[in-house]
Amino acid sequence: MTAPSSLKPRLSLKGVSLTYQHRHGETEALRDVSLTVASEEFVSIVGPSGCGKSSLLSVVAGLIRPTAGEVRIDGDLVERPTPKVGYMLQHDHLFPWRTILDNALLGLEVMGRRDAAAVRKVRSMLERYGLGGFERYYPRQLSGGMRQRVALVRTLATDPEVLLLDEPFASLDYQTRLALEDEIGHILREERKTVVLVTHDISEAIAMSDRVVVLSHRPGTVVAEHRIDLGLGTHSALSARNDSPAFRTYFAAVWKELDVHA
Amino acid sequence: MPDGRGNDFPKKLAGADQYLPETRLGLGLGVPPQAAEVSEDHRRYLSGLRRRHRLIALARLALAVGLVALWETAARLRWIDPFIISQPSQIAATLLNLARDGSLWRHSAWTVSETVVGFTAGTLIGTLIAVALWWSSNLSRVLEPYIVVLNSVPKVALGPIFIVWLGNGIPAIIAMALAISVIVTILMVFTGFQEVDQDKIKLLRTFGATKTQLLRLVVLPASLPTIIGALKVNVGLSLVGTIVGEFLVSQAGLGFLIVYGGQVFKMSLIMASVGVLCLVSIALYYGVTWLERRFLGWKT
Repeated sequence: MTAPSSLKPRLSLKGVSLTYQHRHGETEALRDVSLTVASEEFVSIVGPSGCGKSSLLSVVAGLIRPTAGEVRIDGDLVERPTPKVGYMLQHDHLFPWRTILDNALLGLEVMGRRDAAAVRKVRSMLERYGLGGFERYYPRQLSGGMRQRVALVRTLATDPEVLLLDEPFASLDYQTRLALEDEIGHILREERKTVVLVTHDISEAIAMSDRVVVLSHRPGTVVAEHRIDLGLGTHSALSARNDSPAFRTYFAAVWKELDVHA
Repeated sequence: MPDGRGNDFPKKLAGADQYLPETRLGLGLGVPPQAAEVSEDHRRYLSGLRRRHRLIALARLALAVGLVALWETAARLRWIDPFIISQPSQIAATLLNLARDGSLWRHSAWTVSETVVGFTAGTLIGTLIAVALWWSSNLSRVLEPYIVVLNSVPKVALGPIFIVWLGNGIPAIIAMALAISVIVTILMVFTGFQEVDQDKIKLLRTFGATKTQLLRLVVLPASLPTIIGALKVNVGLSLVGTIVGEFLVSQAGLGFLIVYGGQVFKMSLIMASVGVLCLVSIALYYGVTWLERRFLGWKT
């Protein structure tokens, strides 16, 4: 286990509040959320459904301007989408009319960076993540797990420093989900990315993260933080759940803080 | 109890190849196709299937031949009056004459080209207007009631207006064919644009996509099936517009032949023209179906 807190902060949220306006009134989604994520740290945000987790990621990604407060990445104010941030959504959202290769190249294409070198790089990434030989296939020909890995390549291809994962495993079956948790967690650590994972699955958060942040019911605000040390030396989806006595302690604590019955 | 349910899973699960869908795909992944040896049951099933298809094709042909034979017999035996109802042999003779003096091809060519120009322009212009409406939600909110009203107006009623404005000729006919298809296209394609998955748009926005990129990379490709669907609908609609236009303008085309046949009371000319019109519409429809297969290959 590293001690990421000793590194400089990559991402910081200061007093972020978000209120949605609509015809019949307003909805307060986030209230005064402050959070610092160190470089190469893996932070999970858990919370009850509708607590504004996804809104939080949209704010960090620069898709929504917060009503109050600010988001900074490497000290720079985030006001619009930036290439420094990669965003993985709940579903893979591969475009059915594009081949796997063209899907993986989508981000680079939007940024005007699709050239021969980019294609070579993406090909080798696909190869590395077990998708070699599938470049000319269409998404419907791949399984859910493979598609989600293509989505990961699409996100990593633009070389973002901060990765935002919005329940990227929620639509997969349990078995695939555990395998992908392991694999994607491993890849992201290997690539030395800073990661913010949003999930409502407590065990997923504990197994994958260096730190778990618990959000309250709407309006979402930080109610607790746990630095996770499972004492295993690795982050493995299965051994975290099975071999670590600390896992159950964290789980019970987060469960209580989530206050599902409120 | 999420903390306890991992117990039964084998430790080797993390290997990537555990969830490669080899059996489902069977595409170059080491699963040989099983076509070589077919079981007796399957062979019997397949031959039954083929027999049924042959019988259906035969029944269709028999129905057509039977009806034509009945019609011809009825006319010859004077059960019906061939002057009013015409008869197949006369229709065939008329067709042969029309083909020989070249007028069959000339009139068909007029109708086909007016229709093709009509539905192509209708689909193109309709799609462009739908793009404008998608681009500006204010514009679409302002224009919405007008489009709904225009959609409910029977476009055929506008024929005389087009003739006054554009003259008694081909432009008026094409205007009819276009008018009848453009509004439907706007409504269909704009609805298609609005149904594009918002998360796909969000995904592109995270990469910093501009509005033009959203249109080019998601909205248009995702709506291509809708646009081709509009094209299919427009083939039929524009043909109606063209024929009505030819009725009114009365210079050339299958619509003109039909009206002329009515005026001089030559039923076989009317029937022959209607028959050719059927063939023309089938040909146009299959032309569009061919386009669909070409451009929507990723769907099948």
